[in-house]
Amino acid sequence: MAISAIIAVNGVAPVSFVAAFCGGALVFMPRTSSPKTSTQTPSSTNEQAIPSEPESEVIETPVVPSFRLYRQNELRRILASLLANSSILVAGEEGSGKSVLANAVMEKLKNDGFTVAYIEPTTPKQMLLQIAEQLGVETGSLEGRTYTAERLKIEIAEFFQENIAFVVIDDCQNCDARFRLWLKQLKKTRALMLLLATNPPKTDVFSNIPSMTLKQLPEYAIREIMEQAAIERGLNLKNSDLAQLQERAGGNPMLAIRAIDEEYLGLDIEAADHNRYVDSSPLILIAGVACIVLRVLGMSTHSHALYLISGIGAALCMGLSRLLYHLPKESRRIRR
Amino acid sequence: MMSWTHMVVSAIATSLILETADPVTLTVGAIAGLLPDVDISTSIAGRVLPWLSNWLERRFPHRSCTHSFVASTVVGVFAYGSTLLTERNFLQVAHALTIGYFFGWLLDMFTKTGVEMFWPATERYVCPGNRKFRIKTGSSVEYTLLILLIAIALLVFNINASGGLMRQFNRLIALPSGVEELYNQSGATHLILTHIKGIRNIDRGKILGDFTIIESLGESFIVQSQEGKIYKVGLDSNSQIISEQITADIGPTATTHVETLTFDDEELTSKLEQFNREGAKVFLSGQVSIDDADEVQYIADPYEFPFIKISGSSLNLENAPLMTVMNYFSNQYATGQLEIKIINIQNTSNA
Repeated sequence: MAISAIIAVNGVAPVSFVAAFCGGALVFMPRTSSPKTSTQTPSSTNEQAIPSEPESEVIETPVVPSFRLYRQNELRRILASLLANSSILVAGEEGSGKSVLANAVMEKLKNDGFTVAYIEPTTPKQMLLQIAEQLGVETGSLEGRTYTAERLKIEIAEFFQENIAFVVIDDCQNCDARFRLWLKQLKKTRALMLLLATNPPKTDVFSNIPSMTLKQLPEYAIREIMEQAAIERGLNLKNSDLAQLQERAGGNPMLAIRAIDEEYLGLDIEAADHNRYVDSSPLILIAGVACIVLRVLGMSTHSHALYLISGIGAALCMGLSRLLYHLPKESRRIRR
Repeated sequence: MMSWTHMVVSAIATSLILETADPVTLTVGAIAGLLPDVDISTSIAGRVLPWLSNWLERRFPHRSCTHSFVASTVVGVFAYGSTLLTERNFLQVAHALTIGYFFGWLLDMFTKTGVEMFWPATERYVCPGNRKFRIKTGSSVEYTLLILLIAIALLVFNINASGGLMRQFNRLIALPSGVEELYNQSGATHLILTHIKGIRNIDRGKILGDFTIIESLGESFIVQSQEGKIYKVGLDSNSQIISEQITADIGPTATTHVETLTFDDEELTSKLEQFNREGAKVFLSGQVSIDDADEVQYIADPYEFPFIKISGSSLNLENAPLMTVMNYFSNQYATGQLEIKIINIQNTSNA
């Protein structure tokens, strides 16, 4: 009976359907030429890119390392904080530009005549040696034997008692726990630290000093960084290509440059690794709940159509949201 | 998503929400589904509106501001605003434009890169969260989905072209309530034809045929067969046909009107003659007393609805066909009131 009912409905429908799609087909007419042009673009850019011939107008200024710091506000705030005798922690996701910011801070401080020590995580002894060397602290006895780590710690602490200097530690989340505890103790002297960490835990030194998080860069900044990166690689990208690549940047300058690199290498990638993705499966659940509410309304107003349609909608949405809930979570590893 | 997918989904959504299969509306909906991609100059919408797309693609990432509730609101305001200015002639088109646009960008939520739904907030909303299960533009998954969607679109357009989801649903469940709904909806302007599968109450014989509805009595109906016989169809025991499945269709255009006739010892035929016309179904109800009940030769058909009952000199009619009354009571003088129901059928349309 159900099948016969469906077959029986073939009345006016085919006519209207055909008419609707004829209209659609008219819109599609210019489309036929587009796949060629769109497929040509990446390959042609790649071919141009490798010999890097500055023949088109976009690559008129091929070697302009015009570096621009977009985080001027953050720079000012960090400098103000350090100069006001307060250490500061800068947290942010990978590639958000912490190191770039740290370099700018150091440059400014050095220009103003301050002593700045910059280290990256290695072994604790090595780090202590580096700090001591950059600060100009004695690292060994007169006989030429280097101090032990404990001695270095004392020497550095004594140095900070008498002098004003800055320690910049990049990727601080990778320093081991005992070193970070020492940093916490060092803070009690007058040592001024700029710690930079990727998603640091809320423990020891990280919870002990004021922190600021780096927000995503605005879209215009990301676009400029991408344009710059494209010029540096000799890539001739149209605005439409940039707009599509920018989807993968998500306000993260590292990912923006990576997207350009991927385009340069001709990699076919669509999804990105930024943290801006929000799973909107709950919206489907909300739609399902809304359908159930409508169904109750339909029931109470004896509106069969509303009752039926919202019932179908509710069943579909609830089922779909349940299905989405049971899908495996995304792997954190790089794989297909 | 490919342009075709956008068009099909937007057309389905338009058709479902507006319950229409009107080609103009659906085309507007389908084209509106392409509009969100105006933020990139290589898309169809971008090539149609090059100035807008050039302006947008220089400033925004793909699938950002044009794929958001903000953009949907702008399109809605534009659509309904221009409708108001043109004295609401294009309300349906405005609906289609808004719905098509909304579903155009909502569909991109299922792509790898997602949409900035709550732009200017820059979070990209995706579904599902695991990118492995999201759809890559132009992939084989999308083509499979497109085929499925086209099948759904055909079904939806078909249903809407033949009277909407409710009518198809009623046809499917084949219950008297569905027939009554259609009768209430279109009974004033059209003849309602029912297709009945059931059994005869008197001897449990099978009945399968088409009937015309004359009157609805709640859950049961007075119907007339193609031979002109009158039956009551329903589930209760005094029905002549107990229905198992009953579905209805809209028949030719017909108008029904009811008049009251008063007889004051007047000849029945003379007054009823004027209603006996070609292309009209006329039925009489009411009670009159006739002067010569003994002469009446009428014998009721036990299979039929007892539309004529005689007790003493009183003649009880209930949806009695005019011709039957005129045949059997031609020379009777009657006193009382009769209700006459005239169904004028226009032969211009033939269903």
